[in-house]
Amino acid sequence: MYTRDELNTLFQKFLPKDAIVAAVEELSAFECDALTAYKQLPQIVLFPETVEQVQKILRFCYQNKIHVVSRGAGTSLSGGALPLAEGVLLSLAKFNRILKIDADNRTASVQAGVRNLAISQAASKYGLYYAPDPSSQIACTIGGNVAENAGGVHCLKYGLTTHNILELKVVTVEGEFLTIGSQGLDSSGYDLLALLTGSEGLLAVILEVTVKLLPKPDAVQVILAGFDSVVQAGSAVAAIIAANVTPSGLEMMDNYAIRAAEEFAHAGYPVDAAAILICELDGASDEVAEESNTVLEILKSYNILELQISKTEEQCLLIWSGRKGAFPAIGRIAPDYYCMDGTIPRKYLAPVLEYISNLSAEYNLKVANVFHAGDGNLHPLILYDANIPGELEKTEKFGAKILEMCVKVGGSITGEHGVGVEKINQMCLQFNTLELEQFHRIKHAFDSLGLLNPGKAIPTLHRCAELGAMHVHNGELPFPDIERF
Amino acid sequence: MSYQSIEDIQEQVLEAYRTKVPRKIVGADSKNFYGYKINATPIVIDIKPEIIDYEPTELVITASASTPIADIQKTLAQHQQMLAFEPPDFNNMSTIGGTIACGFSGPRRPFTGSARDYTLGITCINGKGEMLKLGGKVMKNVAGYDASRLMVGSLGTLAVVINVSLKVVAKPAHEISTVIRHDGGSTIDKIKSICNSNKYPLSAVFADDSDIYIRLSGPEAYLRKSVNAIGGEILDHADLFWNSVANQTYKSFNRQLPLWRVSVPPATDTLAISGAQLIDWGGALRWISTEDTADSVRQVATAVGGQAILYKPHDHPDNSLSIFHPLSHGIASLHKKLKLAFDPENILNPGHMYLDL
Repeated sequence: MYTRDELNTLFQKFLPKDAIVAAVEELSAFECDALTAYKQLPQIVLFPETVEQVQKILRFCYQNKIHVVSRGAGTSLSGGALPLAEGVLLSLAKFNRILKIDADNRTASVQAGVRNLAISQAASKYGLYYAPDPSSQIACTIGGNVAENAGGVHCLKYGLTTHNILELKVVTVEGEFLTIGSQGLDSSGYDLLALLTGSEGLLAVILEVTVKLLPKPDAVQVILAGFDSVVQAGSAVAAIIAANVTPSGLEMMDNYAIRAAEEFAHAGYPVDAAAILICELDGASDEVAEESNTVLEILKSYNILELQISKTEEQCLLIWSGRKGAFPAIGRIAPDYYCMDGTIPRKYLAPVLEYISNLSAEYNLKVANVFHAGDGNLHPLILYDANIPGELEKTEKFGAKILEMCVKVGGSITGEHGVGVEKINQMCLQFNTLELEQFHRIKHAFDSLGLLNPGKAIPTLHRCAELGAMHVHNGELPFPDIERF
Repeated sequence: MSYQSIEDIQEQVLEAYRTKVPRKIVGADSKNFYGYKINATPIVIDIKPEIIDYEPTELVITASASTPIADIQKTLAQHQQMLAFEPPDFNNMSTIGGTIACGFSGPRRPFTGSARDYTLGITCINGKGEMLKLGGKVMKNVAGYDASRLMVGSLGTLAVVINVSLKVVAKPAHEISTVIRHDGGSTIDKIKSICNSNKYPLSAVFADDSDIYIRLSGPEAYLRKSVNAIGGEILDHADLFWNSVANQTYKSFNRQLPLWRVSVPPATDTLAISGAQLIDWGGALRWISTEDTADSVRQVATAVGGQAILYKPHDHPDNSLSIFHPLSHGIASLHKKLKLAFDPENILNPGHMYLDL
């Protein structure tokens, strides 16, 4: 193993000085990503700006068995970009150029460090946009989006990152530059594009992405409805889906989240409602008009406390402002919060919420619930104070219980934030030994020495065995206790 | 009729793993024209066709690999839902397992997504005889590698598909198709101008050498307005027409010549390949019946950023022509490693996709 100073000297042989950060006081800026509960000072941070530099770095690391963690904007909520005490943190911040907007073919080719929102901004003059919109889209980079298979509010209709990309340029751990996918819709051979997407930096380093662009919708309508119970709101979600309407967004917030968001954003939310639904419809104006009539008919069959229908773009934005400000709003009322990301079949929404509510009482920790209700993706925000000894640990236990329940009802421990370091233990619940072994063999095919982002995403079998966790798989319960919680 | 149990199939794979004797994986055999021919004893996947789980409000269906596509579509249609990727159904016998293994999608694909896009989870048996559940039944799931989508289009070379969970979508309330007769202008330019507009609810854009066929899906009043704007003549019996495109029974598909499936960026001009060309997927897929050499077809495709597959070799059933687009050295090497990661003894459909894989 090299010391920090030795690495600094060695990298200076083929990298410019300003591409290396090795001073402890500067390194602390990179000690965590958006999962701030986990911190680790990196040994060294590198900022290459050419493909060749990345190749040289990886070849050097491969030869010397040095671990490499890639980092985009550091907005991961699961610790995917958490550095290592011994190893390189490879920042792709300098890969920040939009290479080409191809309006005829509705694609954009951009470097990995380009921000998600910047793609839509650049495509806007052609009447096009990039659909996946993770809430951090103002800051997060497309390379990170691919690594995490990022979602967002609009993925109910437009899919996750994996549905919206065509081609990747990557460098393998051995320093080989590869093109994965193609500029067309189909590619021969195995779907490596799918495999790389969401691989959390464990298989290769992504340097360039070709994304699909969509024509900007002609019309957008946002409807907000306040309900007197969470169960009723959940039932309305199912009714909208059953009516075969596909909203571009279908979001739900519980009372605690509504109050926090309203205080923060003054969006005009009904603070006495037990839950609100925000339903966005987009498309051509006639289509939107017809769909919004269908949705309104459905909503009117419930005991609605409040109904808001956007008439202007400003009103759309106002309704969204509360939802989009929900996380910072919670951040204002609690010293710390822990954002969960489980997915469940929608039909279990009410019982899972009740379970969370019971746990909240048991652990004496408040929870605000914000969901992508249309696709069953829960974001319970557990409020805690990291300065109180033991409270983080208690919060993590609470969060783990929520994720275990998600797996029990046939869902997933993570819908869009990734496993990272945060949910690595819960992977032992979702997958059995054979499946984890298969994942390790996939990893081995790309990175036989295990140098890329070690310790993340896929737990070792040893770790799972130590945890002694009981494996529950796809809702096949060892005990049928779903009704009881 | 008696079906095989999943355990029977697992036992056959295990036996092949132990004896290192390669096997050919066969479903309904409706796509036996596709890929290299393999000379091996088949493992026939004839497990009980069944919809294992389907709740319309969850927008997810799980079916056993042997379930006919037609049965799935029928069940979904009862709830005004459908498979968004409009898979081909050859001779009314194609199964969902084979469809996923081949990764086939029909004319709706550029507008709604592909077989791979709608795959949420797959239960399969790898080349070690291990039963694996990859992915799941929920739309958003980023736990672990996305290995279920890796199975789509892998032609049974990585694992034997046992059952599949797919996201389903609402069947459009109404559909209208219009035909624009060729007016001497550029077909691709016309297609481009239609596809790049945000005014039309497109669900298929197909062209042969004389006409452009456009399908629109959505609310009725809106469709009429769109058709008026696009022009052309309303296509009668449109469902039959689009089925013939999806199932490749449309007359122009059968020209007694090798049939190529060329994937290109959609705005690409007519390709400089001799023979008849059909344009599907709003320009992104070109079906070409040609006697041009494989090398020359591939050169043309590669030059525009595309890839070419010899979809139906016609008179060359002897593996003498290269079927799939050649892989770069680095990608080919990853393919071999991945193949071994799932099938270490190389017993599942070896040589079916690439001769050395």
